[in-house]
Amino acid sequence: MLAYLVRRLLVMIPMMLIASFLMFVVISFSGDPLAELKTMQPPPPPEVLHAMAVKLRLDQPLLDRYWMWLSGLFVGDFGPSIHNIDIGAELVKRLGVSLRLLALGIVLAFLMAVAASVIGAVLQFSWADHIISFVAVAMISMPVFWLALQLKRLAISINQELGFRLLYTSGDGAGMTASTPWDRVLLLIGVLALPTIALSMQAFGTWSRYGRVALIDALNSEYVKLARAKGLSETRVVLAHGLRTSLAPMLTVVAAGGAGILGESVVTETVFQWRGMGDLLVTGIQNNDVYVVLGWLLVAGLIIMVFNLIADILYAVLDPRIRYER
Amino acid sequence: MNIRLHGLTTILSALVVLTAPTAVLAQDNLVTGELITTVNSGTPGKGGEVTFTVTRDITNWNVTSALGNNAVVRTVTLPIVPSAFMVQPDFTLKMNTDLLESAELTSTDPQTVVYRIREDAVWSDGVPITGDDFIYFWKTQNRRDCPECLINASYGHDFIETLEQDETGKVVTATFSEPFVGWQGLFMFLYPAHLAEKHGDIAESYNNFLSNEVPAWSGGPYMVESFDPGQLVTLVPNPKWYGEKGPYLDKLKFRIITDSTQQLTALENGEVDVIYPQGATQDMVEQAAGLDYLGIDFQMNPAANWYFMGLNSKAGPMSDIALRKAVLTAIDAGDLKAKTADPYLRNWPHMGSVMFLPNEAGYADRRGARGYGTGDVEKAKGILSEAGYKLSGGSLLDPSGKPVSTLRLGFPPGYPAANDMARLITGYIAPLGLKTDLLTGPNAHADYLLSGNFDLYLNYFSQQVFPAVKAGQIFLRDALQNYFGFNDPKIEEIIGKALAASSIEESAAILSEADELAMDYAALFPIYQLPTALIYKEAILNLRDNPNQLGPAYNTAEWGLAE
Repeated sequence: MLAYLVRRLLVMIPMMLIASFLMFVVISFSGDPLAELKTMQPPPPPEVLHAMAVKLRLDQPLLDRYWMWLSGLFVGDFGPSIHNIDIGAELVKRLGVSLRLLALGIVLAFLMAVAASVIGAVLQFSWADHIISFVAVAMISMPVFWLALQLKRLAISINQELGFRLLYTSGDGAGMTASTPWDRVLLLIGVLALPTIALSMQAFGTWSRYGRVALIDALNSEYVKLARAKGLSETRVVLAHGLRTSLAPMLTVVAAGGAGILGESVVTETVFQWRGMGDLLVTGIQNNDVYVVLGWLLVAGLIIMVFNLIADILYAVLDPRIRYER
Repeated sequence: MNIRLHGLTTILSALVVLTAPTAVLAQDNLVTGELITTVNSGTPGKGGEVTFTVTRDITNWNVTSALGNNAVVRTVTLPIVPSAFMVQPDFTLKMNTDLLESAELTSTDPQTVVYRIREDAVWSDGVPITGDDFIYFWKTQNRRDCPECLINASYGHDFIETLEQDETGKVVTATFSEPFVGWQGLFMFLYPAHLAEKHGDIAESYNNFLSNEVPAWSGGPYMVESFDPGQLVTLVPNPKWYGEKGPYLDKLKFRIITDSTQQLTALENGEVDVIYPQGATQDMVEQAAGLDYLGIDFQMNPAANWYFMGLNSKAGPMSDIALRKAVLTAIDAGDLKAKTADPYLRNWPHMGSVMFLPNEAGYADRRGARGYGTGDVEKAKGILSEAGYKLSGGSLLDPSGKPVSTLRLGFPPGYPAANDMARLITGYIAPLGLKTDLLTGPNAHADYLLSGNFDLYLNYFSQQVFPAVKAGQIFLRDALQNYFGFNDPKIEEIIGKALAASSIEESAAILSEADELAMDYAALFPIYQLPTALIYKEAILNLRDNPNQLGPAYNTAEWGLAE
């Protein structure tokens, strides 16, 4: 396993280098970082624009810019931002905000998916199974932004019914204060509820479908039949034998899908005005802030690779038939 | 059972809100005439909070710098940064009587202006506001003392030859190198020189201290208590505020909601109290009109921003003035407005000038006077025929017999009206045998407008309080916003005279002639002004739309809650 891990990590290095160069070239040609300044009314004087161009290294050849950026990464310098953002510090801060949302979203989606899988597999073709299947497919089909907007409308109605604001439609809670511990709990629930639900629903839909199929397969396997023949209780058969085996393919999907959720978080953070990684990408693109977008892609690329690695490792841990020694 | 019914009611009510028809139109909330400077007046009580929504994060606090010059930084810093003059909602300039006792033009040759600062005007640390602050600001802006200062534009501070103060520091005398009609627009923002000098030389203090550090100082009614980047700026009263009125609020908050479509939802949910979205759309106005049951009111005005279509007279088919005039004649401006503005901005004014807004001295409908925007296709065909163009098989042939190339019609995304206008204009000029390629995208300005890779371009210009100053930015041959190739020495000469006029009225009268010539040049077609929408809880008093560059935050000292 260790050798496999080392091999995978070593393969990641040239992959990241190639990906980083391609990203750099594509983003460098994606637009003029000074376009917003040049079209201001009135535009700044030419010498100010020149100073900004020098600051952004636009006076340097492309390969030199790439090398300066790449070598800077090793000392924590992610390059200059047109808006004076310390990109490294900003990425760390934004990642923290996003991880809060992502972690909750993944946990919620996973727990719901496992529960739905068990019900769907054990009560196969029952009304409960049909309802869960319908909801799951509906969630897969529903664009995240649309679901998020509907949740907001619903939240406004709920708040109006309650007579106080329980649910918040924008912001991650920064700058909001609560006087008592109970108010703080309510505030936490209020700001987390809608974005977490919006983010988790699509993943829940997908994962629950995978989980149901995997669990049905497991429950029909020979070793489960043997377990039943040995007189084990159905609960133990399902949870200890069926579910454990079915978790292997499901966790692979979860790990791979976890990276996909990062993409959905861009939309969720925009709709709910969370200042996480998704918002950083959107504003970076809007401002043509090249090094911000590059930093984001680098971190996102790393996250995706790490999630894939985790998926492989989990697969081995959960399914004894799979080993990577050879 | 009750819980189930309650939930069902909630879901149904949400669906009802989603599908409810709305029909209230903006003209009911259009603020007109003298009301524009007095609407929503009242005497507020002391205390309370107001949360105002802004549309982008603050990454630079210096509103006079290239990177800080945007509506959000202006809005958030207006309660902090003192100004010599303020642009009022009716587009007039009013001296800031909290800061100045007087500002007088004492001589015209050389032009000399004397500013007298009030004795009690101080910064939040108690240090008096003096000529040092005027001189520091002038040095950052005049392009001579600090070429490294990353300013947005000098706005005429470079016309000041010398700036001196008396021994008290409260009398400041500006002597101009040449007459400048826009002198009242100078010193719109003042920064504390005594703090700046502690942070390096002029360039260092301007580019770093004033730009990158959250202001811990104030010369206005409020000062910054805290800043959560990307989320919230909280202001509290400046304990050393020297003004006559206010501040009334305990806290004035600016919540950052970058997606303008989400601002209304936040207002409806009570998370914010005021929204001022950029580019009010029909959907937004109709939704706002439906929120009166929550005590939410709104004001609308024609903004200082006005839509135009520019024609590239420098290169391509539009370099022929006959074709330009024919295109402008074929466009049906009435239909264009009826289809893009009137559905929610009934009786919205036309723009008939490229140098004046309809409410400004000097304005006349010079567009209609030339037959532009009449949609008169036969007249347009006549212009083309006279110039040697021929219509053959549905295509237009130029005087040499070659087909006129498909016109590249660019426009930026994010303005639904511009998108609609592009399609409508395509239809208006089709009978002339002209076809268009519609070009847009997130980098439209850079890809098409700045690179000159267009024949027609839809966008908006922001008018300034001195039309001659704005005209100088667009119509001079080397002007940075002369995207459409104006090249008329006579226009330049007149603009020069208008800039040197002794009064705004005289300047406007002179500039009118340049407006006529610019219209004759037929490279810029004015359409109509964009709407502003100030949507707010009606309990907030003295909050009013200021549809110019300053926006509603021009009078935050007076904002307060009804008792």
